[in-house]
Amino acid sequence: MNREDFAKQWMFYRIMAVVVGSVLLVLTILLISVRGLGNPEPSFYVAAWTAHGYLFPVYVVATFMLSTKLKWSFGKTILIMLAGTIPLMSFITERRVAKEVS
Amino acid sequence: MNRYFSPRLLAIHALGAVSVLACIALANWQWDRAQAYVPTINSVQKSFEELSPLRDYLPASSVGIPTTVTGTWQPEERILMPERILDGKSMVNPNPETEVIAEWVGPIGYWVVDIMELADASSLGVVRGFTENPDEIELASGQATVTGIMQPSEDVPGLKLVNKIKPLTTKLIVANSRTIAHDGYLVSSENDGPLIAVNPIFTEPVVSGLNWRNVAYTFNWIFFAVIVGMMWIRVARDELEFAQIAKHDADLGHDNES
Repeated sequence: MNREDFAKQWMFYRIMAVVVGSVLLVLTILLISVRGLGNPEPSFYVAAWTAHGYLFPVYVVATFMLSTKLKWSFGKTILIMLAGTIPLMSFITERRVAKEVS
Repeated sequence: MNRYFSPRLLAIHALGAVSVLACIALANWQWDRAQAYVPTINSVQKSFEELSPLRDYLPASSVGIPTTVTGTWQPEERILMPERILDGKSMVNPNPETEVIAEWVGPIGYWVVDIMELADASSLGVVRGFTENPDEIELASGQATVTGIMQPSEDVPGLKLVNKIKPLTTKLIVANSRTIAHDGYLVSSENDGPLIAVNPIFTEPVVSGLNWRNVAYTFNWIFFAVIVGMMWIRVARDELEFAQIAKHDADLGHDNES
């Protein structure tokens, strides 16, 4: 395996895991505020959800590329991809993957 | 068995094909929704079932179309929309990017919205009329037939009201309905006792381009379809490689035995 290529893909995955995790966390707080507490929707609410809709597939691509390098099983790859849909979970999986990589 | 037709590989192809097709179907669905605001000029009266599909947005082609509904009023679920006038069109902000304060000539009062439960147990918000004294308006009860004009939720893209008027949205109607509610609302065309029939905002199907939110979701699903397709190819290729290696190992083992 080309070390430099792997380092790039690893960094790509880490950045996307943190970005998707952070955006999802903010969106979850907003969702609770709007739906749970009945506060008005902020102006960027719809745009933020749409942005998450585009960031998540990029995270999926990053996970997929890393999975091919690390020879993950199909099930494990899917689980790590799905972690991007659960608030905070992408941070946890990123830490676990970091341990595996190190 | 041929390595190209192992049960595992066939399962991978089936899953891949179903996943890609599902993404394409979802993209197509979003594209249909994106065009919900393309006009269809036709203001001939239609049946309510034709105009307002339950569990979906009110199609733009249904906006401004006259219809008749029969149902039972839900007296506990009245909604009063304050700071309104008789003419809906005069409440529309011509420049939705800014807040506009308009000075109206004529009475300012309430739009009285009552919820009607239809035969299929769905709910419909009906603007029964305009009044300056809502306390004097008796709650609607019993069965009734109302003829009116269908209107979209007042939070549709491109529609903004002047004077910071609280919009009459589907969300508001849903919150005040006991059962699943239709998108949009009906404006009664007839005076109802002291209530004066209001002039609806839209008197013909909406003319404005695409709904960009749904266009964004369409491309989102196409993007997903491409990613799923890539994963399908990769997983199938890996499976073939494993099969090849396994076959190679088996052949070597066989050679060693002989």
